[in-house]
Amino acid sequence: MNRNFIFVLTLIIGLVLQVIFFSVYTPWGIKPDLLLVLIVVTSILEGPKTGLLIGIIGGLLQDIFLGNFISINTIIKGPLAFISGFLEGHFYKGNYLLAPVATFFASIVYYLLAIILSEELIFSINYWVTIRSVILPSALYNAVLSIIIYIIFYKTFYDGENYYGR
Amino acid sequence: MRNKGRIIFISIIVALLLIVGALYFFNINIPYFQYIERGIYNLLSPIIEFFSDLYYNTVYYWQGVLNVDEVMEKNKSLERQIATLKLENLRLESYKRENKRLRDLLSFKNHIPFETLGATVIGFSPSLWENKVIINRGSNDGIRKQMPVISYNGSLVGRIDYVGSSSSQISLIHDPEFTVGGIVQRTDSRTIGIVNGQLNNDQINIMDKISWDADIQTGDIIVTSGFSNNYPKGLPIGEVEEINSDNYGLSQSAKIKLFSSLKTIEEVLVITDF
Repeated sequence: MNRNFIFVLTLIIGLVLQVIFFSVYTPWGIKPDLLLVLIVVTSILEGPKTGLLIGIIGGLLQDIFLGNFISINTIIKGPLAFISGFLEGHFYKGNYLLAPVATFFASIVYYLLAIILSEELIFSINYWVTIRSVILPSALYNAVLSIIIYIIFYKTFYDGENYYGR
Repeated sequence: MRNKGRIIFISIIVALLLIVGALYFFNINIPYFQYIERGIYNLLSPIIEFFSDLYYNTVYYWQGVLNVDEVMEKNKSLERQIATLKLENLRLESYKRENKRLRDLLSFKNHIPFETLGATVIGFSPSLWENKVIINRGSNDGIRKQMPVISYNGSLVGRIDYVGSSSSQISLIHDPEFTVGGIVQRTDSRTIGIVNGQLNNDQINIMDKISWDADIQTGDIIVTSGFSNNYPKGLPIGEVEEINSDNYGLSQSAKIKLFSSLKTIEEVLVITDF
């Protein structure tokens, strides 16, 4: 089966899990973004082109389930996945630390851009409190999830391929 | 040659992103896109409903099996409660008849209760910034955009924000984008204000734009004002928890503790005839 098709399928599974599980059970009120994690992990494994495709499709799926077709998620997640994709080829794929570090920073960038691009949030929130109590814990949660997803993807698609790049 | 290809590819991507960005910022709706959007939504929402049903049925089944003593005890207490309520219902029936008779005598306009449609929550918003839930009723069941949604105890939960064929999305009352006119229920006050949701706080809403000398106290019940025609008048929203001075003393704002517990909401009623 085409690998890109499998990645799109994981996005749909990710959306279902996010909507019925991860958005409901939020420990200490922290909500992860499973689709962002899937997008970043796919990008750092597959490179910028596949990353961009997965980023745009993931963002679109998320936007559709927020009542908009092309909105903040598509606009931010596409380029974010494209940029994350440039990490591919520069790091040893067997290094499990890359995924959480990349996901943590990508999450912070995504959450901050989402605030800046939202007319309801940009002037109405307390930035320091939001960064401390929402953005950093959620980015950390995403980073933890990314380790699990990275290991699953790496073992499934790249088992034995321990070299740099592709 | 490889570099040239890369430059073309990146240029196409940048151009596409600029177009997409422009569509978003200038709020341009392309009809063709809406069909794709609805198609994907209607294709995916039954999958979500199926897995949601499967998941919750499994969870409830095991909760029942593991807490069988507690369930039996609760069943007994509910049976007792039903018996008491049946008696009370009989008493209320007689009051209803009396009320109708007196209204007829005084030629009052009949009070018509809202038509409501029950719905089950099948999912929550996949975003950190937006507080929405997905319900298992859509345009096939008569749901339309902007319909008010209440909980089983009658308090305001939100409004319909997006309608698919067999599921819809509700923008919840504690969403930062949500705004509703509120009024103090106390007959000797009738203070009005605007109730807004807050980011990442599902318990407290803020009621602001309250006049600086308005009569509002801690413990006052806030209900919908009905001034905007978007919501019926008198739906309970919450209770005043704290009052603060706002705009350097030119107005007041109040923290409203919401009646609906939105984090664990499982079933809602959509008001269909308003």
